[in-house]
Amino acid sequence: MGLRPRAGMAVLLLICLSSLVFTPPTFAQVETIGGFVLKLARAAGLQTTTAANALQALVTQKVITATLANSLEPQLGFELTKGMLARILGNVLKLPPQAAEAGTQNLVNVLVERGVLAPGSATAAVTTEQVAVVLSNPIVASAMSAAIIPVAVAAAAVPGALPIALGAAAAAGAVAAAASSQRTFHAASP
Amino acid sequence: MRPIAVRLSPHRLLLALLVPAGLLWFFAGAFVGDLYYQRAMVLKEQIYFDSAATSLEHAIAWQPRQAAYYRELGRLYLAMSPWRRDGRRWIDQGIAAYRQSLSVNPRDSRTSFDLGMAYVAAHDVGRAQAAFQSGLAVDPNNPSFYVARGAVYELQGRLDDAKAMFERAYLLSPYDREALRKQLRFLDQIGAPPRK
Repeated sequence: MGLRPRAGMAVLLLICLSSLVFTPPTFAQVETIGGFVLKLARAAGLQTTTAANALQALVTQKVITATLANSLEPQLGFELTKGMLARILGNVLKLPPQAAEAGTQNLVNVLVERGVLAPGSATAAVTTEQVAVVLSNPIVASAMSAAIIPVAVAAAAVPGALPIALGAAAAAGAVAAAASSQRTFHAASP
Repeated sequence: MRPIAVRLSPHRLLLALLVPAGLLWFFAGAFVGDLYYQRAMVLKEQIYFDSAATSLEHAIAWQPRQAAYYRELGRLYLAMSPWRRDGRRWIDQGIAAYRQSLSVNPRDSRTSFDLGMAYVAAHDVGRAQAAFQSGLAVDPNNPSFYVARGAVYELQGRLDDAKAMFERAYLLSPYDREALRKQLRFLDQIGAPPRK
């Protein structure tokens, strides 16, 4: 009598477990330029529904310049590369134009040194997870807020992030040397 | 099969009602608070920061003694700060949330670290050092604190102290020792005397 329900339950359990086993793993999704622009607008507290509107709103709020927005507009559907991400972030951070003029890879390196980006090629595609890290990581936020921060700080973050952080720390020397003349931080000593 | 009739005395009936009600009262806060917290984390991943913050505030209303909720709220405010025009206000709110978290659980070294970083973002290196120091008191072998303290000393121009911190981190960290070695070499180049 009780065998059928039990068998039924066993089959159901087997189906549930096998669905776990055979569920395809989530693949990292590559971000588009438009997707990133939308997220950037959301991070800035702007309510927009399309990437084109987000671009305009970011210009109006002076988060990015009109020149950058004009160059991004025809590319909204394209893949976001690390170089393009660095270009947008460099614009948001108001990095000196010399940083961009020296080439996209140089701009990526500058942001790596500041602890904002993880090291990598400027042509590498950026995934949605990486975008989430850049936009929502408080340590990255600290690195961005304190533009004078030497690298090493950004790294220290959490144990898991330490390797990346220290990777950034390696470059600290060069950054510190370049920034030493601009530092305003010393006055805040305890 | 005959149905079984169960007769309960009024006292037992009362108990049968009160016990589940008590359990519900006890666990409902944790359950609802956790639901709001999970929702906030999903929203944060999708960069809906304002909605995530509202969700976390709801979570805190249900569970005001949960230090992790305040910490996440602080992280959220800090994450907002570089993208908003009134960034400093968000940094200050983040600092307040971290401090609230530490008042609930003073032995959470991660929150101390985050608080130190928030002070760095606010350009208040004195308080940043104090926060890192209190984190070290809880977690003395965590190289992250030494790296952060070294970097802040470097910002202050206290190169000897910076070097001592990086050396300590070098001894403790299994990761990227080459990066720390380069940092130490750089300090030597710019003036910190080699330590014996």
